[in-house]
Amino acid sequence: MTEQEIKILLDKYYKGLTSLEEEGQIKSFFRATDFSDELASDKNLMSLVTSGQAFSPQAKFEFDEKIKAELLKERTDTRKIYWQWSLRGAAAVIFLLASFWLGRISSQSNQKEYLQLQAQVSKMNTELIRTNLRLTSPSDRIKGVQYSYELNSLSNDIIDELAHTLNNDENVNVRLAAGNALFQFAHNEKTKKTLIESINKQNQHPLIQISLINMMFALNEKTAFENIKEAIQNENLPFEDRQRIQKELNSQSRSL
Amino acid sequence: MKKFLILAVCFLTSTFCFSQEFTKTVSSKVQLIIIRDGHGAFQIEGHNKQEIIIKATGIQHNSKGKGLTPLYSGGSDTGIGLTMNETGEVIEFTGLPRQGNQSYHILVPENINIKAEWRNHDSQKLLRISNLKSSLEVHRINGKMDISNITGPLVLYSMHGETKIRFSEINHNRPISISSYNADIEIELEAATKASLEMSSGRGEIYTDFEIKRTPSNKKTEEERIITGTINGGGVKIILQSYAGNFYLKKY
Repeated sequence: MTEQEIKILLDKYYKGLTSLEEEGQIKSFFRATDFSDELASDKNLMSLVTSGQAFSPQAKFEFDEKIKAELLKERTDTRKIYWQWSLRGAAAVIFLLASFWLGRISSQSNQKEYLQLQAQVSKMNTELIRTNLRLTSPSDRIKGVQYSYELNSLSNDIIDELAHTLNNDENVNVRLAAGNALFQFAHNEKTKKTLIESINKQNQHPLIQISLINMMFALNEKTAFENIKEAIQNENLPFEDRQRIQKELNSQSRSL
Repeated sequence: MKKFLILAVCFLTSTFCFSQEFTKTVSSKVQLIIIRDGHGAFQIEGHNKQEIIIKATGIQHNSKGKGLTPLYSGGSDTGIGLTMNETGEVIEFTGLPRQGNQSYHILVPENINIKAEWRNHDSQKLLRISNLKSSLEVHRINGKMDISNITGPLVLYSMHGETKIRFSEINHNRPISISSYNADIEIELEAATKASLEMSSGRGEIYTDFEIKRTPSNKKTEEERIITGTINGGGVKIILQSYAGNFYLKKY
């Protein structure tokens, strides 16, 4: 396979349109072929992102441990991080991330640098969320949402990204994943408001609507009650479930 | 008897039933085939040819519409109760309304991604999907589904329709996500499948014969009923979520 052909396949991959066979061809290409520097970042993306290991909890833990170890080695070089805001950019970001594993890190203020690196990892995860949410495959978009679980907090723009996904994605499971992800950060007022406002945007999707309602019941969130009352009128929700919601609403209202 | 004969003649002058086949060669640039809102029973099956073959039986072809464009459905009328739209990387088939009791057997290239989407509530007929080595996305409100010999990644939602899914070897790392409102869903995996599971059913139950190594979840769910764990050491992410349906996760 020529580099030109692999570039076409990579373009398809970044659009989420490759078949498993084509992804196998890409992986085989990088395993077996000498290629130009131009494709180096793509190789790292394929080996890290498509393996599903890049930011799994275990991988992140291992990554953090490697960073710590490298900080202790008192090496004396630094690398610049730059950000690209495209799918190709994600590949470059992963490449840079991988490069950290080789570690060339200043020894002057280890703890400070470790915290900085953690922040950078968080930024990379943020970028991966943004990147994956734009892919056409729902499986890839779910993967994007799941990167948010690696974050300690959500920035406003990621809350907006996830809110947009929750309210507009054409796939129920992707919306559901976005709702579940936002719920992890429901202590944040903006996130909580997003979830509450979304309840009545899900009239065509009973599973998501009832999931959001149950989140609010779990939080005992009184400010959601008006939205829940409105949702009870949604005839797409089975009658017996609307009755159950009404009962729970009455119960929680009495405890006010 | 006379009334019956008159009705039969009237019916046959406007519509007639027959079996029919539609074939389309699929170019190499096509990446996704969408089958949407069809009426009747559907069987979607992968094959190793680069063409779509639709075998339809029981078609009530409306001769009044012959040669005309269906404006709501759009695209071109295939003559078998489906319209076809082709836009670059996507070929889309949509069911025409007010169709009869037909059934379709659709052969598709096994490596092209498939999206099967039924958003109408009145489709109760069985949907079968099999032999796919590509990404599969399914959305259905009612009606049973039987899905077999697929690799995924699969992203499936069944609101009410009982669903059975049997995976062949899973050789990718993209998440598999299966959800339902109150439909029971049976999932069969090869016994040696390596997977990381995330499962919850608010008011249903989850049954399995896999040995799950439970891992504590740091995720919050609305009813704290999430079960996380791994089988065979962990691997592909499998997410199961239902409001009131049961999951049956079985090995074979």
